[in-house]
Amino acid sequence: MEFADLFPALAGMTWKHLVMIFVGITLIYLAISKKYEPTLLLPMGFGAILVNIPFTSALTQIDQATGTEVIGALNVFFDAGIATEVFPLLIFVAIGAMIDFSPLFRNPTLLLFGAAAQFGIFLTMVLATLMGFDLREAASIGIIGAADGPTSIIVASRFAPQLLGPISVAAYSYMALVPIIQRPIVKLTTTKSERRIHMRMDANKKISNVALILFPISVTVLAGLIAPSSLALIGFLMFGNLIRTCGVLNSLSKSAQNELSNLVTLLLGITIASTMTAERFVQWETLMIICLGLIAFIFDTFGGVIFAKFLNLFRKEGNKFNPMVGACGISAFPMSARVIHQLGQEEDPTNYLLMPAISANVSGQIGSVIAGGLILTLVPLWG
Amino acid sequence: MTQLETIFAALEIAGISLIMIFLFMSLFFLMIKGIDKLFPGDNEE
Repeated sequence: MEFADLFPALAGMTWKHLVMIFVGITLIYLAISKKYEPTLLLPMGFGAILVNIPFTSALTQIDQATGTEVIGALNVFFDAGIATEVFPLLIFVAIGAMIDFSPLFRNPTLLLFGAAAQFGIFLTMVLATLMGFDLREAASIGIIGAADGPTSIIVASRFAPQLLGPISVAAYSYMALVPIIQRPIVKLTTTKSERRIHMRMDANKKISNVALILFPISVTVLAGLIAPSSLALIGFLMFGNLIRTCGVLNSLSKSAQNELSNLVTLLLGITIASTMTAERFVQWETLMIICLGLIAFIFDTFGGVIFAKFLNLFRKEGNKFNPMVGACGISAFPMSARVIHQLGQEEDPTNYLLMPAISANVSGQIGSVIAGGLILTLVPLWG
Repeated sequence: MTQLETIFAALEIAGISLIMIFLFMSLFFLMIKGIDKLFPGDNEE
């Protein structure tokens, strides 16, 4: 009887496993101590520890004695929930039930910022191809810039499942770091006088319930007619929103926002960790993905701000956009809106940017889903 | 696909996607304006 027979996990432990256990502990620390997206980072961190102890029964293993396959629970969850895209789509139902589109009805022009702030996705996709990734991998890396966890998971699991682990870690980590990432980029790309621009808002404009009911239905039909591959993403998001706005399904809406969201998030986090094995994760590729993800977020912010400044060239004094609001066109709701409002208050305590910032942020949630849908539609046409 | 072809493909997808996202958002803008005109909030009880 050898040591390896008695203690296979200890005998099989390599430096890569130790690195991953350290990564798991770091994610747990960030989740608890810094409160960085704890709903995802903590399960992912713990899952990373679980799957990086050699011969873990949490993953499918070959029984050494009998040679038969012993199915691991995390593989079952992965096959049922991630490979089928069911988990992220259910999260979309929950997110849709949480979104209030009335700020968009008050400021529909800000929809355009939700488009401009997806710039980082596509710039990063091109950069990733320059760095040697193939088209599908590059698209999966670029979608980190959607600042939208479920969209990133759906695109990555369809196009590059081998990169799902680092892409998910990057996406959720950077979403939590939006306040740290956006501040310097916004300050670098705007002048003091631009940051002090006040935006006029009709905060008291009433939006009819019929309008809020028609909106998710119309978006689904329109998006589906133009890009049917995007229907799963957009449809489930809008379905969740319709449950909220219809007024007759309040208990379902509450369940979607709470129980459904919590249950699926719990399973999603730990299941994604099943892809964070040492062999897959501890590679130079992972470092490149982490760097490219940061670039995506930076250029999302840059794209939104620059677009706002461009639009201001055609707007009269007194009616200009505060360019910082362009940065809110990313999907990181409501963190981005809060950051921009705070920046505005720092420059001028009488400047209340929260309303336009929230409007742009909500449009970003639609923009990111559209971007994901377009990538799902277009990438297979090229290869 | 060679790397050059991949880069060009990425550029094409990026360009088409950005145009289409703006198109989508413009359509949604018109849709919101239309819905709001047909069903204005002030008439709600």
